Amino acid sequence: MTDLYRKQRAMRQLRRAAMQRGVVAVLDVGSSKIACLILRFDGPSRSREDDGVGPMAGQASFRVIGAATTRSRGVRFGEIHAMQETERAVRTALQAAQKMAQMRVDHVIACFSGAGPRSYGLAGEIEVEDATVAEADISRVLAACAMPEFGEGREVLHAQPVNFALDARSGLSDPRGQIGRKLACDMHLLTVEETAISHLVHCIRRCDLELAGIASSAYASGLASLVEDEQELGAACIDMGGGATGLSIFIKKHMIYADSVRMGGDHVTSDIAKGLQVPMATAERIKTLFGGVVATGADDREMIEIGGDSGDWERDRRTVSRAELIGIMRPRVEEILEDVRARLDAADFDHLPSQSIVLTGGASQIPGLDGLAARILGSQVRLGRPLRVQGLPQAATGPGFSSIVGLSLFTAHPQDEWWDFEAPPTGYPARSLRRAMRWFRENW
Amino acid sequence: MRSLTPRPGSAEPPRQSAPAAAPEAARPQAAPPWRLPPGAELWRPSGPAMRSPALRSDEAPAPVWRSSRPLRRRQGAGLAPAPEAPAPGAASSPEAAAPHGLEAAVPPGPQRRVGAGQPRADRSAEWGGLRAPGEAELATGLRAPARPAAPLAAPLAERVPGAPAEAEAEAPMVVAEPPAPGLRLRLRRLRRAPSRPRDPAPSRMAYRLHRLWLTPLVRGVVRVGGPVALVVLAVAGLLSDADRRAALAGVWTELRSGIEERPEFQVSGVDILGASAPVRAALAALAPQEFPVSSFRLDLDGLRAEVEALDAVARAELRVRADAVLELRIEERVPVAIWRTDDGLKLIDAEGRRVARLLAREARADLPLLAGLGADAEVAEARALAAAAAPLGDEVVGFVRMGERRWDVVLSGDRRILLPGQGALSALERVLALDQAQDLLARDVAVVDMRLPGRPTVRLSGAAVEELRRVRATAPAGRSGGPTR
Repeated sequence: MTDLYRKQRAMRQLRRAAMQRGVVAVLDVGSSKIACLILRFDGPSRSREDDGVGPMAGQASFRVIGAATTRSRGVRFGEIHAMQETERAVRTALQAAQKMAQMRVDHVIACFSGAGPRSYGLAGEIEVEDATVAEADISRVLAACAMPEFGEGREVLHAQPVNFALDARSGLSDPRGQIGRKLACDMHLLTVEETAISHLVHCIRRCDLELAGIASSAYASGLASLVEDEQELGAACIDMGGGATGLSIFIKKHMIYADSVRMGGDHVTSDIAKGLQVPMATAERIKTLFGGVVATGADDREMIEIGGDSGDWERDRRTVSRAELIGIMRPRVEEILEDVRARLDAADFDHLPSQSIVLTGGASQIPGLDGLAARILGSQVRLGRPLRVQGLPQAATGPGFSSIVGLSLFTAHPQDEWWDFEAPPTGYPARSLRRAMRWFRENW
Repeated sequence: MRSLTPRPGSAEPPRQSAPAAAPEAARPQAAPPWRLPPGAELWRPSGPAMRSPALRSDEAPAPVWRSSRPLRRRQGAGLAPAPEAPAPGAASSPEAAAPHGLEAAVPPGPQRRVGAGQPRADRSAEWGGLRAPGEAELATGLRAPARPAAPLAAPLAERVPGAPAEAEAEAPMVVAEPPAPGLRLRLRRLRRAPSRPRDPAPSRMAYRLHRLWLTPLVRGVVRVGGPVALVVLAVAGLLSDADRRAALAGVWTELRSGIEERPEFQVSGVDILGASAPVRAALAALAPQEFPVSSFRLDLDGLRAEVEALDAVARAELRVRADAVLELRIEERVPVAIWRTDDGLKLIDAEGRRVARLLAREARADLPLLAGLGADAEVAEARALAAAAAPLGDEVVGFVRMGERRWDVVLSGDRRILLPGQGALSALERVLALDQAQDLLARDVAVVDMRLPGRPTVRLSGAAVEELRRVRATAPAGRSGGPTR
């Protein structure tokens, strides 16, 4: 645990160094594409008040100066499977982005969707030392949270204090300076498999870069695609990627649950490839151009040419109706959504005051998905696209880019995590020294 | 060459679809290793009659093919190993010739080997080193699997009866072939051959180099620092030799004088305008003496300063006219007064500047005579006084500046009118008015003192004082004399 604390603190240090240098890269290692943005931080926003641009959520403080996307290689289910291949793909994306930015970056903040994220809610409680809550009390109460047994080989990705309670008052976001005796806190802990992180770290090391932060892509896409009210009142963001579908639940602007379903758009594609006996590339193309999940009468008449590309150009010219295609796609999409529903139920999403659901991610662009999702997940479903940030190229504004845009928001304004606070001194000499200092302060 | 000798498993279709004999030859063997494109059907002989060489020869569009260059090169390439392998069948195995359709039209036979193979070997020797003795083996080694050619050749040779005439007909075409391409060319083609999809990812080295290139310091050094240092070093290296420096300087001066000496820039004379004779003489001494002179060598500003340094010159204009004459237009100073100092007499202009020396006062009797320290600073006032004193005529000798603050008017007979510092002109006019009214100056007065404006005073000469005293002594008391008033 202290090891993790130290590692995460080191990453925060690197992030601060990157901020000082003003350039940082964000990297989304997905199963179908690897996207990279290069952000430039110019300090305070240059837009004046009469521009009508307020400080916003921090997205005005940076500018995207380089963007690149490449087809992902060696990533399955959002986890790195073939290290060398992934390294090459990451290198491709990084080089293209650096070339566009005409600038060299040394720090990268990455996110990935897979690696079996698991959420834990922790609670801790302490007596406040002085009458007023100080920063040291916060770190003590965070350290007082009982660590669950999340098992060997798992690593903590996020540990965010979600709620503070002082005596009888709950729902405090920042109790510092307030007067009370008993300080309690709720913390959301997200763990993932350790190997996934170390693989990613290795890939990024091989690209001569330093990892200045790491995030769950479900969390990142929630940051980008949920509007502020949804984050405040409670909403779930479902990021339908290529190999994995991540979901994150937000309330009071904090993520309280995240999970991922190991299915995504690539599975739909492979279903089409198997069902129509076409290559994967053709299946992907057919899915993108003609795909859907709700069949109508007109779809029976709309015939799609699926060039078999089997070499027999004269004879292998099959066609299918769009209804058949939808018939292949729909069960898989339903399966994904039902899995998501199961996860949401497990997280007691029903008990949230507001239950809006936002679908984002590349696979959420299937026409008619919102109708199908409304039937399975609940009525308040909308399709989400990422927030607009300065300098983002038009090609990267689609829903497939919400996790990387969210990651850049995360870079600009990271939420307080457990390791942002000083660890409370545990050793005996430090504690007695502090007690002596306190005695002096009180009596002199 | 890979394309010409089909390997088993090679997916590439043959270039030409004409291999008439080839399928026939291949049939006894296993299936041909390449697949014919659909168009090949058109050329495949349908019956045994079509296999006759006579039919084939007029069927083949020979003239057209002969004229096409790339095709001919391919033929040469395809036949390359043939001459060194005179073993029957091995050289002209139909399979080796099959993919480039032309040879396929020529059924190989013993006659052809004798008639055509021999000259070709000679010619390739002419073409310079391409056919080294061991190269046939090397080349065949490169085209991957060696085929069992001999068993193939035999049935084919039996099958072709009318070979000799055919061989004769084809001979010129074979002779016209250029030689086979060299080993290196073939190697290059081989290397290019495997068409794996290119990996879009940069290699690790390329990636690192790119990052290095994006480093500002490296970029600056390579793009600016390096070239600048290189140029500076090169120039310094060139100039370190004294002889080369001298040569460069010589070239430079030659170039410069070559332009300066052009007739367009030559000035042929000087023209002095607006100067009196003595000034003209002085200017002629100042102006450049040798003509023609290049206008680049004329320092007009310096000359102008020199000319204007002359006392007699108020302003000078210098220019080189279009007719290549240096024009010196002079405005002379006009003397308005004579100033007497310890050095002698000087003519000064309205601003008090010296114009010239004057040897005798009488030479310029029309000008007023000034004297005293600081008289030159108040020439204007002196002129006004002189103008006002004009009614006195010859009586006025001159004007003396006293203590650099006021004027004395010196009259003949050592009489003086002392004027105040302020309002000198009005004081003088008052004296003149007194003179007019009471003949003041005609009396025996030594000094008229107007320094205190409210109290004009006259000093009588010694004789007059005596006379006055005598008159007062005799005159009845109570009447005072006028002059004291």
